[in-house]
Amino acid sequence: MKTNGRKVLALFVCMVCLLSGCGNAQTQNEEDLQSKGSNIPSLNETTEQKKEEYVQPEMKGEITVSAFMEQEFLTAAARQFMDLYPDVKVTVNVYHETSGAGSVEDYQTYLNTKIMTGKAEDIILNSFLPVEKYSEMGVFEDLSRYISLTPEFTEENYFMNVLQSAKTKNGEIYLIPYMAKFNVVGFCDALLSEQTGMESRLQSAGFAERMDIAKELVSNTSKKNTFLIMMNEVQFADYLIEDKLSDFIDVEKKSVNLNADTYISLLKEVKELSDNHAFDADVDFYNMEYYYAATCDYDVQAAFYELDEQSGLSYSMPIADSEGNVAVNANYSMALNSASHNKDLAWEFMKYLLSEEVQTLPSVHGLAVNRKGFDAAVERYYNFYAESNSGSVEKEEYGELLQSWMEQLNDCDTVDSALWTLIEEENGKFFEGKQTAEDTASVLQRKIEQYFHE
Amino acid sequence: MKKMIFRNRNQLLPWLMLLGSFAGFCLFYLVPFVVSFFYSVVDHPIHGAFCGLQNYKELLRNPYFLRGLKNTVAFMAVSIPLNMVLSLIVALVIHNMKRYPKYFGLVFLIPLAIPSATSAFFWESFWGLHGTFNKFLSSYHINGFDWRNSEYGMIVMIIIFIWKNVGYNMALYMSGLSSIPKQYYAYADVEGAGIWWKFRNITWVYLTPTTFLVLIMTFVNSFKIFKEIYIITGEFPPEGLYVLQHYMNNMFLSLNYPKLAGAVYILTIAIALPVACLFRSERKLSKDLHD
Repeated sequence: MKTNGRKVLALFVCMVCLLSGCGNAQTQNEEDLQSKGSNIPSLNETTEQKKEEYVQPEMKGEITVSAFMEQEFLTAAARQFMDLYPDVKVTVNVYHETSGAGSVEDYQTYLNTKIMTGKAEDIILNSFLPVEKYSEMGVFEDLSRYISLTPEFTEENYFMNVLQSAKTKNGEIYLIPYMAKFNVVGFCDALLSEQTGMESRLQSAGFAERMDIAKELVSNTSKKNTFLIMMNEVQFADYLIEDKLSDFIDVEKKSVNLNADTYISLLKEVKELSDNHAFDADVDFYNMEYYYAATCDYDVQAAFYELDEQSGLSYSMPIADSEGNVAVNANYSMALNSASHNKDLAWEFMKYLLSEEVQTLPSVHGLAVNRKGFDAAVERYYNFYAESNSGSVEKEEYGELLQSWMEQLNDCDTVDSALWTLIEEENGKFFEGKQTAEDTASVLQRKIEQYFHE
Repeated sequence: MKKMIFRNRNQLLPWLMLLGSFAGFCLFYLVPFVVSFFYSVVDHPIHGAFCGLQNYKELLRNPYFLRGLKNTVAFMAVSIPLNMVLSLIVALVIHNMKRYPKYFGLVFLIPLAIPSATSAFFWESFWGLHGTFNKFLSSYHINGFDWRNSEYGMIVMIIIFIWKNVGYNMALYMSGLSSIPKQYYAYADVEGAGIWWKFRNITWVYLTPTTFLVLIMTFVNSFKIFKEIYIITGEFPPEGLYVLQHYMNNMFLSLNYPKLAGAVYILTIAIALPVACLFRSERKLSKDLHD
């Protein structure tokens, strides 16, 4: 009896301790906030107060980097960095080189396990990772402080709009793009020449608006074999959804509105276009004359073709959403592991990846975010396209066009790839005739709501 | 205790043989399980602050966790008794077969040897919109639909579970049946007892310990149906098919370890308590039977 009483008492004490933890957590959170807040200058602080300055850490230790695929520039940068700082060891762990490496989902599971055991790399290169969820769970370090304290990060040296494109509404930055990749849509010259009075509308950058113009070009032409755009219906629907993403999904508020008429009619509209052969994939490219009213291309190539009169493309522009935001692809960005024991040293390597030395490397397959690196990329891509095309494009105008596009970038597409996978899977079923548009919208609504609120 | 173990060498051997398995159990199950408790009482997996039972409270308010719990309980409530009854019937039929009972028994054991992915692929194509079952229905001019993603999804999963596990339970029952002395049936026959009387007073009574074992094994196996459900319906199945393991798997993918660890502890309690009660009852009944 006495023993039972003791057991009950012990259990009661444990329960009280655990329950009181809830209260303590709040207090601790408040304390955390206060301590964090102490680092953030308040409105009342005067300029005389001591400003936080960046102090370079001792360049000694080991840094690890996680990447899904091997990236030449990363390997080269690691080597160069170690040459520069002999006491630093940089290990790049490439998932695809490990035995049994598989899909991006497998990589995510592999990385999750490492994060869970505290063994994840100091720097994580994003490859279709659930960035929003990782940030929410505190996996990534907020880099805004690091960026603000780094004197090299100026407009003069960098495209700061790209570096800070992943900034959240609260001002946190969890991802930094190490190169800028974005898609561009241009129109077919041959079809445009048949129309008049379209000039003002051609400046609009929204995908849906651009496609409305393309539809008009297709319906008003006398030419045969005229199609809307070279992509399949699932991709086309993706772009339209992305255009109005904030109407359908609010990632920050975790709200979903896909079960709405707008989404259902969007799907039906794309299906109708597909049924009317707007995206016809059976074009015999070598034996017939054909026209695509719009062309979606990647940045460096699109810029060259825009300027090359023989390409037959004009009014190319980076794709913007309906609110005018032009997003950079988040899969070419990096994050700092918040559980890293070597954050400052890792930041030094991240800075090095963004430095002129690395960004000018030919193995940076894209537009560098560092201005010198950008110039080098312009030179490289210009030479490449000029050699393989007979048109007369000036290097300066090519560079200027790309620069103007780079300056338009103000967003980073951090929407979890899992969401796009869900959308593409269900939309694919609809386009294959396996389910109705209404069912698709309803299933997606349920799945994405579950994804957000589970 | 030490003296007791070393008193007899014969007593030491089982302990030594158990040592490897026990070490593995501790290393891969017990220690991670205990360590995971830490995650269940912090608010974030990384640099988390102690939050007491907050995660448990939130879990018990989370509609998805509750849905998973409800569906898991519903699935078990239907599939376990159904599986046990069917496997007993199959075992009785095969046990009383005059010719080739082993071969018939083997047929029911085949599903156990088929990997989950293969069987899931088969059932996916069977119950799908353009699957075999709908083709069969269309021959009777009945319009089919995607059974997996319909309100009948749970029934589909129960059928798959029974298909997969009936053989295992049948084997256990057959072993139990073969241990019942044949003389009892002979005496009953002499006394003019009918089939039902013999079943109720001989077969069922002597099968009680086996039935408990089957119940425990089916209970544990019922949690393993997740593999098939997951392969067939993915991370976000229809509401009726969302089981607790979906919740836990998705929490792992979202790195929400506090919720994951909390769910693991709740699930462990939900499994351990009934299993402990069952073992206790089984021991008591076996004792009564032997007395």
